Amino acid sequence: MHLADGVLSAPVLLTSTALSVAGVAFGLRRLREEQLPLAALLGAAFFVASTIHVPVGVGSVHLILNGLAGLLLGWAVFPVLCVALALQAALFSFGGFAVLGANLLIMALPGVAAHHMLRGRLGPGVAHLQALISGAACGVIGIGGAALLAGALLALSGGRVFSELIVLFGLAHLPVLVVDAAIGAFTVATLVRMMPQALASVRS
Amino acid sequence: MIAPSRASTAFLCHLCVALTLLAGSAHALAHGLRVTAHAAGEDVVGQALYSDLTPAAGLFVDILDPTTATRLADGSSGDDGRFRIAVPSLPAYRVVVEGEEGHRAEAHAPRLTSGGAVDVDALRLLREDIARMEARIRLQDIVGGIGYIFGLAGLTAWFMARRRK
Repeated sequence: MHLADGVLSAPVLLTSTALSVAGVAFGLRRLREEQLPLAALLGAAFFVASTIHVPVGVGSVHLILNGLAGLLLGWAVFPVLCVALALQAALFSFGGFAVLGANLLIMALPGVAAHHMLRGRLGPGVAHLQALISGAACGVIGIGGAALLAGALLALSGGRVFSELIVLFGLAHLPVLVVDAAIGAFTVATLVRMMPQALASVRS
Repeated sequence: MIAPSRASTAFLCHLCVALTLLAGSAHALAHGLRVTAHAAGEDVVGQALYSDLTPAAGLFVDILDPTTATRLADGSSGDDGRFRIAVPSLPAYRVVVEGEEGHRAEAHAPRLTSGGAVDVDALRLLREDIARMEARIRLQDIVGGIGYIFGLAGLTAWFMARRRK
């Protein structure tokens, strides 16, 4: 899902970079001291997850976890993923520095959406099934939203048909979506049962 | 409490495996795209690989003049990620490989000439080996990146602690 340097047109590139800078600035203001260890942990998880390809069936699958990071961090997901994406661009040549803003927008905005859509469902004493569903929804919103945004940015800059791009992205990322949803469901359900205080920041 | 959670976890696992097998089109998941190319006779030949070393099949390949950036020829990569495209004669070319999901990679394609003991085929294999090593994600890069993240977290914690005083 990392767009490469040179595929987006200049206006799309500039607009998405400006939006990302605003998101990072707002996220840094919203990052509270007690969230910092969790933010670093999720940043490291996002950074590493996309390098580990697990062969399943005919292809390979890896995690992205932007929805889960967004649920737990809220707007602070912007600076966290900015660091992780910059390191991926520098060390692995995933994406590039010119499109860092666009890639950040693609990854972080669905995370923020997951946070706002799901935080009301994770009150104290939430049922186990409810936690599983919320966690799975993280993966669906995170990956589905990222695929939508990536398709939209490509369609805006290339003039190609949005519906075709979306089918392409949707098919290619279905395995990632499923794995992310499964890991999200497991993680949120475990947090609810073992460490409910970890979710306190989600509700506030 | 435990029984339904086990049942639902098992269900999710089965769903996950089933859907993954169904979806299949997994090459697009790899993030980085790398390309090697050189000019041989009347053609530019090369190979495009994703960062997990799977061949990049069916991508658009453009051959450009490196000085004027005009397009000389185009084609697409085969199932094994390789391409062979006829071009007008120049000392070197610029190769741009572009996929539909926002993948893009560029390479400089010089004309390989053999002098003495090494033939062009051996040079080609050598260049491909170097490109493969370059594309591979190394453990020290991953560990180094995690180090950066924890260092930045420490720095932020330090600033926050100073602000609190």
